[in-house]
Amino acid sequence: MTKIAVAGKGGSGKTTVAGVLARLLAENGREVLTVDADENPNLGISLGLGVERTYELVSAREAMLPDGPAISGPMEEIVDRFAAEAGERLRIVQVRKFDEFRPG
Amino acid sequence: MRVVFLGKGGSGKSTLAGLLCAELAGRGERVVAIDADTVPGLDQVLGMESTDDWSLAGTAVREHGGWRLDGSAAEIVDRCARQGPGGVRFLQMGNVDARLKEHELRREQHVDRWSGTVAFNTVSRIFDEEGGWTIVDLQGGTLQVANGLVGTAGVAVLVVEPFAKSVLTARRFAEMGRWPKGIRLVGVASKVASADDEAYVQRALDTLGVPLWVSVPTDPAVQGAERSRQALVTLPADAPARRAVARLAELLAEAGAVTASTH
Amino acid sequence: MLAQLEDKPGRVVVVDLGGGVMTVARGDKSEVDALVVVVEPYPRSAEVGRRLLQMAAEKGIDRRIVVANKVTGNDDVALIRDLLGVEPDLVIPQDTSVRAADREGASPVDYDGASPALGVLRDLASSLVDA
Repeated sequence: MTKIAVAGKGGSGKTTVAGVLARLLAENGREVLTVDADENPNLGISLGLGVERTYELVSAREAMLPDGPAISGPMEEIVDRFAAEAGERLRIVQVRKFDEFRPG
Repeated sequence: MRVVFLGKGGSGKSTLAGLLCAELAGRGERVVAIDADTVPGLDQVLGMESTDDWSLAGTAVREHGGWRLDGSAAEIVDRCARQGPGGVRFLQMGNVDARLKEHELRREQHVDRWSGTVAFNTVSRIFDEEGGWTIVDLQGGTLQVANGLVGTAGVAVLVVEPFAKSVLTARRFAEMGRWPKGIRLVGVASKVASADDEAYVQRALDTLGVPLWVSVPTDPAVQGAERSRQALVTLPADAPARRAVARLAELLAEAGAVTASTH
Repeated sequence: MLAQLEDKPGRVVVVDLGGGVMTVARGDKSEVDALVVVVEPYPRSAEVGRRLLQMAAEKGIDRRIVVANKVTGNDDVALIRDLLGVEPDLVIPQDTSVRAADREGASPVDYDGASPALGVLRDLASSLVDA
């Protein structure tokens, strides 16, 4: 398994790089899992899911972060539950949730 | 009045927030600028050096399970704010090095320190009560907004560039639901290079029911200043970006006057 | 979190860490085999890149790849080189078809497979998994 992380200042093009990279690797026959850890998760667009589908992706935040509800199980199962198909050999899982307003 | 800049990373929030501070200060207004991003940006736009110092953390004491500011708002500003151009007072909230040091201190010394979020909320509310302008450059995500950093009154400026990801980000902000009633959500088109670009952003904002207040063109003067690390606030007043921000300031002043007259 | 995923052969995980430095600051080298740092040719972008590279080095993330993006000419590369103190590993030029794809909300891969940016990204893909 090869784990590649992409980082940079907002607007640098890192999401485009990450998404295109993932698509190219999947096209080359790799089994690719993409993880969107951005507060504003737009990776789906760079994968080719389109705006609407990207907007509708459900986050796995509740499962993965300490202050979320307790969900036990191997990481693999959590990913399987929340990951969405993004193409052949390509999946995406969002790990941040965009929130509703909270009082206080 | 509080003006909060929201938008996707790289959209031009820091640039616009900084130019607005300069514009308002130039009109003789009292301005406090707050950078809530973990990566310094607003201070550089203002021509100030970035520092690792996060003196806000030391200004609160625990009391009755909550926090009390140690001193009046004026004292806190005097202690923590740095002097920027034209009398703008600048508060750094999110600097990552300072934050990391704070995390280490919490772990090692079990010191119950005032978190950045609480500090920000408390301090900025005091500014709201005092009058003058509080200009806030918020980090790119919706989490900060949900945590109440946008306040309960004022104007939230959505900065939108003419491409899909920027519009999707704006949509998330606009559709967060239950925006505090006292906050007016408005839009600014950023890095507009053509009439097409402006129309693109206009359509997107229309769909969201957010008014487009000004369109800020791509400005070679701004790009040049960024590259040479020249403070953007030194750009001439007739630079296209500055003229657009001047218009934004007028609209904000009108909005502020309306708010004041209804209270 | 990534370290807990099953180590399937042929599997690649690509993580978009988001803008800024906090995700890397909180991360651990066990979660990453390679860190790609994307930088645009202006000081504030390069400064973030510089911090990211420094943090990654301090955490023992040895494979760090610098991508200079939206480059319009040699001056841009020189600027990045000077600000980062290292030569970029890859240079992606300003690409009109990527901009057009961005406008429409499409992936550049679906828009114009022959665009210059995609050529560079194919090189990046090969270097990351074939090495």
